Amino acid sequence: MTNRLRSAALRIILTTVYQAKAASVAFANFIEHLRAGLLAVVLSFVYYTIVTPMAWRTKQSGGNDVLTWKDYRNRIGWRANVQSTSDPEIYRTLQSPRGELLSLLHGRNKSVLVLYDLLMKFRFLAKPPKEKELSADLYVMF
Amino acid sequence: MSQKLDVPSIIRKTLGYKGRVLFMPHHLAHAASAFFPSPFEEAAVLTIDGVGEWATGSYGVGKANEVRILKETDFPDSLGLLYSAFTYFCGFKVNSGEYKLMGLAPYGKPAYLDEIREHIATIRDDGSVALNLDYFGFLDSLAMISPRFEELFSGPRRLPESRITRREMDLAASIQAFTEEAMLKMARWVHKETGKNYLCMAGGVALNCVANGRILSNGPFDDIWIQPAAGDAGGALGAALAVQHGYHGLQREPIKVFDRQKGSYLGPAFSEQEIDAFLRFRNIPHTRLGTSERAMTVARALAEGHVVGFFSGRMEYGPRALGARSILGDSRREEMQKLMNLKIKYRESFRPFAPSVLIEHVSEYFETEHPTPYMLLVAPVQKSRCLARNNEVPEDSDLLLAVNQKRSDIPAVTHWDYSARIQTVDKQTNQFYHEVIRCFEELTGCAVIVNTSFNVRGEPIVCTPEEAYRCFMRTEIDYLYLEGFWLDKRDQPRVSDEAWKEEFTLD
Repeated sequence: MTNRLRSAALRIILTTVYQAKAASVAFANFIEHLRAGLLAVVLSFVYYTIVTPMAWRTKQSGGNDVLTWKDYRNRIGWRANVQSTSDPEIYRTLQSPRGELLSLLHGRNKSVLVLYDLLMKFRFLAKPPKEKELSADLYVMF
Repeated sequence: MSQKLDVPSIIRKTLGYKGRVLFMPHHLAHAASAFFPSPFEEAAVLTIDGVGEWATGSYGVGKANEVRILKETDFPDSLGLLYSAFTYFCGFKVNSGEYKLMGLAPYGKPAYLDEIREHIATIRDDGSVALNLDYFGFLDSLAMISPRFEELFSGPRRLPESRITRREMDLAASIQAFTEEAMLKMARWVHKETGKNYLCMAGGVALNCVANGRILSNGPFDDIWIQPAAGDAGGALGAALAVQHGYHGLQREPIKVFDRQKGSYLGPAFSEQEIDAFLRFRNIPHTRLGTSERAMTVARALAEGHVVGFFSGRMEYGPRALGARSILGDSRREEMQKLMNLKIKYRESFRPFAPSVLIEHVSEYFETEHPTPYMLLVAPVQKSRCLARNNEVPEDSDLLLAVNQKRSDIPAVTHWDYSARIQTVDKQTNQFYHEVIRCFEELTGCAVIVNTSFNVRGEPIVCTPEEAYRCFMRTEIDYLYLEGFWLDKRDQPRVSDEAWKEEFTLD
């Protein structure tokens, strides 16, 4: 009687553990799908409603960096950019990344700020890539 | 992205720091790391790397407490990214395998130099480069190179750890020749623009010790100094020094021996008591050496052909092992390079090891008298020590057969082109390491030993006694010198842990 009870209890525990594990894997997969789907929706929205109009405006104003980059024979070499370790202004405190971005924009191009604010709201959806081929410097840049 | 957007809070959380966090421009930090620890009171400063913010290189002037950058080159014109693209194409890891490409270059001929100049990049008269982005992928994809790059060099890239062919050797030689030409032109331009007699360098490209050697021997400067941690890690030192001297106005320290870098022994040290406690706690068989017998014990093991793991004093700051966390061997033994590469480092064996030589004897072995305490300059082995050999790797020959040819009377440290990446060792900077090599010379008549970093394939260099012991046990290192304690492999328990070899991929 005791043995039968023990084996029944064990079977129940094992079944429960197995089902709980399967349920947790399924839940994790569901969450991952949800994350990836939401990210795709958010990025598509951002791409079509903010980035594309920004790119069009830049293209029309003739200030397209990419075109300058591609025209390699017309790029300049060394350009003046004086910076000194004795200049207190050179040391930024970066109290907030948003404030830093604001100061870099000098009040121009407000859409970059909108883009930043929007992406910050959804950054919990981001996940780093598994494989990296690019130079780490470029990952820091972009 | 989530990390990049919130760096100050990560710094505060990680370091438990509550004060202000200051930031400074990437290349100004590199420039500060090059000038402030240098021996010069006034010098030109040149930084070259992949990219930092939007700058890919800069030059300026350092004087007393100030470093002033005058001009910079911007993305995408980057000598560093160009070199990294070839590193990737030749099957090595971007941002860490560039030194392998440099080591491969002497085996090849610059057969692709014209293609590079014609299609991929041009060097302007001022030394700056212009990349043709049709051949690179980083503008519109997550790749270093575009399909046109592969078409130009007849096929896809070499896969990591696959056989190295004539193409990779020639590509390495070609991009190395291109880089040397660009760096030399840059140095001449900077000299003309600044009018200074000395040059300080930093940035990842400044780790190209072959190009550095050319700037020193063929360039316009009387002397050059390169930050040992020239890569981005050194930016931390540069930022700290800039704040110390520029922001707080503190004076630079007086010169110690050659410079203010203190031999680059800036890392953590472990006392004999700490190591004793570790050995006892882990019940590791060991012998405690008396102070007077330490150097001779290490030297004797080396002279007998053994490989010694060497752990002494403060750890090095920068990518090179300089006799604090090193694996040492006998430079005279023909089989030493092969043995250390395959049985200890578990890596490709085309790469030569660096020699540590007593500074007072450097010109007896190498064609230089210049102190190079940080392994950042390359010089030829003295002709009288070289053996006449064919200097071309035969077509379709296995590279390793060529590599194992004896090329001088210090074969373990002589590269295919009879050059060596030298570390000069002086008594004032690292007295104990100097004493070890002096004892080795007393026993063998040779003042040169092999020095390679204390790690295995792709792993970081060991820092703590525990890491050193683990590396010792996983490899075929014969003895471990651990700050006054001597460990013999034959006394240690056997381990059969092989899984760790998969833990780190090759650079």
